[in-house]
Amino acid sequence: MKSREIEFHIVGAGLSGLSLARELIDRGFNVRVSEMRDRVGGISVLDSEVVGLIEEISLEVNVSLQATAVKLGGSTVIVSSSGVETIDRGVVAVGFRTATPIELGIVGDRPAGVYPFHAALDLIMSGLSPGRTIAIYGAHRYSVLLAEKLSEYSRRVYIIDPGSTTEIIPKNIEVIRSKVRVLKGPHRLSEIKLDKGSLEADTLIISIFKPWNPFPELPPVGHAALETYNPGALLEASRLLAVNLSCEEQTYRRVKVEGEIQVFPKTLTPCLRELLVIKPGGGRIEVNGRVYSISGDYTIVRAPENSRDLRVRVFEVWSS
Amino acid sequence: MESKTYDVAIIGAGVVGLLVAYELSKFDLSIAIVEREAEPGFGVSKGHAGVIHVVQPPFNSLKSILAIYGNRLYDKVSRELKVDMVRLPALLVARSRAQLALIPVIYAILKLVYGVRGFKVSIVTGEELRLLEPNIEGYAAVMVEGYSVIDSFELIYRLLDECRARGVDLLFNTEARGFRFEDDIIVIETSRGSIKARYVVNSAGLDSDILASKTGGSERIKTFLGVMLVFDTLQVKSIVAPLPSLRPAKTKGGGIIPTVWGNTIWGPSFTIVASREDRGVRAEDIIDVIRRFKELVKIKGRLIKAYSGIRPSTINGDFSISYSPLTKRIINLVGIESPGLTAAPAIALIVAKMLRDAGLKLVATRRAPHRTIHALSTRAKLALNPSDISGYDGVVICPCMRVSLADIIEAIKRGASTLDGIIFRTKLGMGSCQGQHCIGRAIVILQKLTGASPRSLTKNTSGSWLVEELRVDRVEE
Ligand SMILES: Cc1cc2nc3c(=O)[nH]c(=O)nc-3n(C[C@H](O)[C@H](O)[C@H](O)COP(=O)(O)OP(=O)(O)OC[C@H]3O[C@@H](n4cnc5c(N)ncnc54)[C@H](O)[C@@H]3O)c2cc1C
Repeated sequence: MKSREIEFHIVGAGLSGLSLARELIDRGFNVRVSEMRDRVGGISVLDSEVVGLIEEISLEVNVSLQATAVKLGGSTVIVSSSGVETIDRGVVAVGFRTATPIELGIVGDRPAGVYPFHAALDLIMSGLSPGRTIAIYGAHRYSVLLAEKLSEYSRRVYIIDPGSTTEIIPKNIEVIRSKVRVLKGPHRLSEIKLDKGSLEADTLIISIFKPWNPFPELPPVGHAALETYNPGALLEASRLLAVNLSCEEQTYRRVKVEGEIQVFPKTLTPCLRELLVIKPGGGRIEVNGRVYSISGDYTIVRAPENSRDLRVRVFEVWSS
Repeated sequence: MESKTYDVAIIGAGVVGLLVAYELSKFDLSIAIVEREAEPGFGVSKGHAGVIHVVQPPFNSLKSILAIYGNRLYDKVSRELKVDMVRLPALLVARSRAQLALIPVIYAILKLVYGVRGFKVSIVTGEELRLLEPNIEGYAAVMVEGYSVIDSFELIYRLLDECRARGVDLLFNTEARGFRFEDDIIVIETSRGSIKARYVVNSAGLDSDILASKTGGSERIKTFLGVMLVFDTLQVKSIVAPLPSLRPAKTKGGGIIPTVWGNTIWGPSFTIVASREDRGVRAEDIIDVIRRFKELVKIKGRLIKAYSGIRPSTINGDFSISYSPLTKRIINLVGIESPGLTAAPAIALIVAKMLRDAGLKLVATRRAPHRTIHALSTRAKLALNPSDISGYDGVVICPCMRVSLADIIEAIKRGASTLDGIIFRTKLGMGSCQGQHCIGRAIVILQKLTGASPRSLTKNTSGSWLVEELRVDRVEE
């Protein structure tokens, strides 16, 4: 394996890291994916629509399991049982950060039975259940998949939706529209106080996610950069970043974003002529004055070919 | 737990009980520590702010005097036990022009009280303040040197290791419930049978008054809640607090505190609560702390956690260190609230002296303690010499705090049997992501390495179960 120099180190073997790896390999690069867990797939392991793809790519790609990126004196290194390795060109595909109770305004006791999503998933993947009567806070693709998995094992599962999700939630899972306020339980969680009323549960799985790049000197992809619950959008982001990374000419056009949309990537090399624009539920957007409509949660827009920086914003009738 | 009679039984393995045991273990004595929980330090000692204090009004109180005495002992304690401690100054900052007038007054008072005791007190001008603490907004400050911040978790575990090495018996999961007297011997009735000792030290923290009352003690504990907020980056180099007003304050105390492991703590708040169980963090307290400090410091980093502790205060607010009214063979330590961590080494010396006065012979032991060799943590290895990393050191479980499988194995080897036992020993999950990548995996590792049944694993106390097997047939209502 040492025969050819690694040209890209990708941190994280979830759907985004693996799909980026494949895109780069297809463009002739030698790539290594480092994954801190002892399995690939990240939070997509329960997602039957993509596990096949994940398995397929992980067979083709050089993945090091139990190899963890950490910060060490200002730079990012990969630590594994064979030692510490520095990264020359890396990409961060470490996925979402789960919001902490305090940033969600959740107060009260700090009992056992309150788990961040990823921790609960780790337990389940090792044959352990995080509890019996389980509330999952956050309503989206991944929380529904987790809820379905737990109800297969006859756990009583609720999804608490702090917003108003458009996600279709199976009938056997009860949905409560509310925010979580206070946790009660001297030892193990016993009660979750909501905006209105409360719920008796022994487990709360916090599943409200934020994009977060813990290694800001490296470019992010996937959930480290974008809040989307659509695997298709993740695959597109990986493809676009691969075009950028494989471009010989590393000069950039910048993308400026206005309004409630997400755009990826934030900089474009001359090789990249496309942009991923995410707007859940669809709608119309405007790129340098041209209007596009999004029918699903996202679209790929052809970037105008002049060299100016790009301006992407939500299209509003009165703004043009 | 049958016929052995200990010279001294210490009830409670908090920082006070452990320091008492540590001090007494230097003498030729048989010692037991009796602790209700599965591990040490799960009481008041887990919910504090980790500051070794100097200034503690009222200046003539026992706790004020013992704080100074204990503060000085900490250099020796941290050296002997190899605990991370950093000496730093405290800055009392004037935040308005009006407050500037108070600076000379507060300076004069503190200089009078603490200057003579060897703590340097000085005035810091606005300009100097900006150089010292660029994140702090203020007009001037009074600086008091001689504070420190300590890795209070490490302190607890090093004390535990050291007590073990010196032959102290540690009886966990054992709750003391009452006392009987058989001639010269005190029989402690516990949840797991009786324990005999010639002398008893009651350092039971929040419940010390209940135990004291079993042999006639009349002290009562009043509980105060303290809420602390944790940010994931360092915001200051010193301990920073608003200049106190001279009026008796309703909201008192607290500061901006840098921890030895790179976080910043704001707080604690100070509110009276109805019961010892009432320890939940309340929104009002968080708002209170934020209101108190947000104008003082430019917020750096992300707020990652709020936690709380309960102060066991006596009615008059001072420490109560006394013999039981029934017998000088029982010493009650009641109301050891803030600054109890600071005072603990001094309390230990006083207890040793009181035991001697009550007839216990203190002869320096000739037994050499077992050498405890502390494995270097992966975090330390990464900082000192990354090329040392291999094997389980390289299997990182918590990337934020750089905690490895090797660290967890070591923690379990040293007695961690609960999740918090691992967390407090390794700092797993205490970083920016607050356990998302490590808590689940640490539970799996704990289960595999201890071979315990999943349902028997706990976070800390006995009711705090963590997981059960994921099987369809095992769910019962
Ligand atoms: C919010 C807050 C902030 C603080 N900040 C600081 C600070 O910055 N600096 C400072 O110096 N001090 C501080 N303190 C004070 C300090 O935390 C305490 O004084 C100190 O931890 C008390 O230690 P302890 O050993 O007496 O009590 P604990 O740690 O409570 O130990 C008592 C032990 O006894 C056990 N026990 C109780 N009853 C029984 C029984 N019947 N049988 C067997 N075992 C029993 C308990 O389980 C517990 O482990 C703070 C306190 C609070 C609440």
